[in-house]
Amino acid sequence: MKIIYQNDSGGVSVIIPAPTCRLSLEQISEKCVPAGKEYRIIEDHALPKDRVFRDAWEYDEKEGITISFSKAQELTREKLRRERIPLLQQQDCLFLMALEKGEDPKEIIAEKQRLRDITAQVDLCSTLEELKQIKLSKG
Amino acid sequence: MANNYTHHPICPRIGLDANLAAASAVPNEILWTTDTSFLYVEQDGDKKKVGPTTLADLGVTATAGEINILDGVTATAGDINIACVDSTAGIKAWVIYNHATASPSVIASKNVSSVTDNSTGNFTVNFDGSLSTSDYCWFASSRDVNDTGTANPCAPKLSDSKTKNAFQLQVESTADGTNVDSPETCVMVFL
Repeated sequence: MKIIYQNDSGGVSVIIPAPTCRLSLEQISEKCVPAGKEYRIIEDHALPKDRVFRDAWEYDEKEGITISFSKAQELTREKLRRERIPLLQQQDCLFLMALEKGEDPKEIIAEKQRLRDITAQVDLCSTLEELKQIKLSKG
Repeated sequence: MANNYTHHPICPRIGLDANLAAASAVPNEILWTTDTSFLYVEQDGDKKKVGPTTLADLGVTATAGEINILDGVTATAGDINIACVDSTAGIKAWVIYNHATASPSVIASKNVSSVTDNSTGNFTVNFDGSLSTSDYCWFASSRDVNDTGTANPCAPKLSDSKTKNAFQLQVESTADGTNVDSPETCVMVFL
């Protein structure tokens, strides 16, 4: 069992009781949920199936926890931007080496553009599963 | 065999009778108890008072507990040093927390009522009771989710999130400083 409530960041806080704790869930709620906050006690299986979009979780009075698709999209964009940084740096090195050797950098330029454009794929997705499928690697 | 003890204000030495050790129902486990006046060593139901001096005279307090001798070590006659007889000093609370799975869990803990998962790599440790002050020290280490052997740094979240009842911390990736979840974050609180 878990206790959930909407935190001040607009997300969901989930209270996980310690196995050895002698307090009841109600007592833990009273102690740990900020004053004035509405909370719910839910079963473990009512939590989302994974934490991929943990920061997109939102508190819903009826459903408990929902996942905001727009937040999930933004999280995916941020993740892709972070992960492509070293790949772009690698392509920059390859580009300079190609110039030094007098080789055609066409493929390198195309790869750099593919990495720059990859965040656009996020806008084409309509489900959370599609967002999870976006990969930086080719193919 | 007579118990061998000396009076030390921090680490009283408690003698262990070899015959008692052999008769223990739980191998290599010694129990100690206190009635606030005297410290006793107890094994297999046989309780022995340790020393004529009261704990108050020693300047320490103690609560019931146990000593587990490490695996592979056989209890023999001799002295056992109790490093922390004063139960009001040292580690006040600890918790091992798994926040990498869909349903986060408290693996083990002491003096912790619960952990609040706030977001990725951001959680609050809630004490079982209140500490006497918010001027305590905490330390945490966090295993990398991919078992690379890298420890993720753990940092305080906000200065005002540290109270007598709880404190908030975040686990960060060594790669890019973003918050990350871990299958095993260990937290200790000292006072």
